[in-house]
Amino acid sequence: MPRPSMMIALAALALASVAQAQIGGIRRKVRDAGRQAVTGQQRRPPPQFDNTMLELNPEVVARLIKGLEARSTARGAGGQTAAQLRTRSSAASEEAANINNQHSDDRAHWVDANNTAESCVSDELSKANEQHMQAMQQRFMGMTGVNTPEKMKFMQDWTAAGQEAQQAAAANDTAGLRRAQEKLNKLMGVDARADTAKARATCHVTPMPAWMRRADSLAAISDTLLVRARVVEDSSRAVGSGAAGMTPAQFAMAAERAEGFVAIQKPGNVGSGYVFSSIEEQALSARLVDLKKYFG
Amino acid sequence: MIGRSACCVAAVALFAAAAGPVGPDDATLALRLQSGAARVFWRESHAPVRWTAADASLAALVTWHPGQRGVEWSTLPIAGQGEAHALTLVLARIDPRSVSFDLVWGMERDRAAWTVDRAADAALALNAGMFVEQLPWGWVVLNGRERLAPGHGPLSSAVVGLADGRVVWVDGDDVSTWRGRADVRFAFQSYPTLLVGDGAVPVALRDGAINDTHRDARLALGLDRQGRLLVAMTRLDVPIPGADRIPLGLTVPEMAAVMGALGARQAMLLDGGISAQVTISDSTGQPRAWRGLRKVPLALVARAGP
Repeated sequence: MPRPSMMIALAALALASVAQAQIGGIRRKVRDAGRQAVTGQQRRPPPQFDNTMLELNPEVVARLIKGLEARSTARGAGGQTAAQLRTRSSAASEEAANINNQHSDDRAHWVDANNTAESCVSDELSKANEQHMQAMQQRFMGMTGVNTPEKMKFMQDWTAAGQEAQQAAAANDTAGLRRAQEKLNKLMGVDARADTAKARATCHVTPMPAWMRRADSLAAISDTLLVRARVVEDSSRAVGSGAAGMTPAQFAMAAERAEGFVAIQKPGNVGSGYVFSSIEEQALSARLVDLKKYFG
Repeated sequence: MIGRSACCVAAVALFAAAAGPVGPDDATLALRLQSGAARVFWRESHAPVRWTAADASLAALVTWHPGQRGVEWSTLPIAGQGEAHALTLVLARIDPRSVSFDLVWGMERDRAAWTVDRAADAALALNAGMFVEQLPWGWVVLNGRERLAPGHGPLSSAVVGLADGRVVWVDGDDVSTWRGRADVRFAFQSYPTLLVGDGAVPVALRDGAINDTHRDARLALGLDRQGRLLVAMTRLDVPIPGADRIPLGLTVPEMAAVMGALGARQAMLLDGGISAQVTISDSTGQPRAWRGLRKVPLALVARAGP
């Protein structure tokens, strides 16, 4: 079993040796430094800091922590932090999963039965439509011969509703199309709702079980919360860099390097490409407890 | 302990001295041969605009080991510039017809929680997508349900897994063809794109529009001309136990070259750096894990059998 302290010490020793020139700093603009380093002949100085990679000295680490705190406490439109939204999303998702696990076979059975029943409903409605078509044909055939005021009125209304339906369809007006269809149905004495209710009763369509409605609702809530969490994550990065007094790039770089430092402190994690200067080692070590709050 | 320390320091120093100089201006990628020689397979000054086939010299030196059914894996020593002068490429190729994929959600409470150690029984598993803070960037579909909406950016690509087992690669950020379809089982996006169409290197990787000097540990996913998924991850080749996770490696254009040379026609980066992690089960079912330093929120897991 590896002893992390020993491994880190080994890595530190190695990194402090000539090899330091090869291993170097990950987040560095490396081209020139890399070329210098490749032969292993030259001893490279501590990390080269620039306008993107700031040295994590005590003052910068303090600003970083201030920024991390601001980032973690930034609230979205609903007044919640990204972490709170993520937690709520996870909780809803977990509850949905638990419900589904308790009914692991029931959902599949209900879905199968429902598919069969819905297929039956579709067939029943097709039959009903066929009957309505035949009734309509008979009615129109019965209109040949003597014109009566009732027949004239029916034909006028039918023609008007038909034109209304055509115009609505051409305009992609679904509400208008539905209204026109309802008029045509009424003229033909068709009650679509009654047809559907009859078909569903005939086919023994069973409603979705309450547990399933609950699980699906929780899953949808979880997804909504997740989307909101990501929106807050996006906006809170600017809040964090502003509070740290850094550019977004400086803040992201400092946060990533600090996360790397925290990671190598954990048991089992050895080595680091983050070549920290001694000032950084001391500054980060001194605030390790604070940093673990954000990266632990 | 002192002895071991001295040993390791000496090993690193020797290793460093063996790396040898490179040309001053022209970045290269080379295979490190057992003889100690290097065989260059890519030069920045002669970088292909499009990879039409795998690089024969590289392909000839890759020894593919059988993993679980549908998975082969290999490791390949390569050399880049500067800090990347000694890397190991961890490679895998997966036949989607012989495995089943799952996209695994790795969030617990408010934090990312997935590591490869959670997938020790998988034929192959790796972190998927790109993570900005805790959550993945871009489109995420899990078990047919869209959890996160698509992201947009000119250098993003997407992978879509269909109910019939096929895996579809989407160049660019327009996933409207696939979004909302009932036969989409999983999907995710990542960036930057490394190869598009049939091996073309995006202009932004060639004209300096993206940072072409920053080095990091890299993890890339691609699709080769035989329809296999191709995984390539860089690890630092340092004789210090555990230090292979040091996140130093290739630039983005260099990683595009690696994927092109391996025969990918389309490819993209997944989250690298301290996130990059892969586990592959060998033919006996024994997992070989290349761990990361960070827990991640999303993982692609392949299991043997369609």
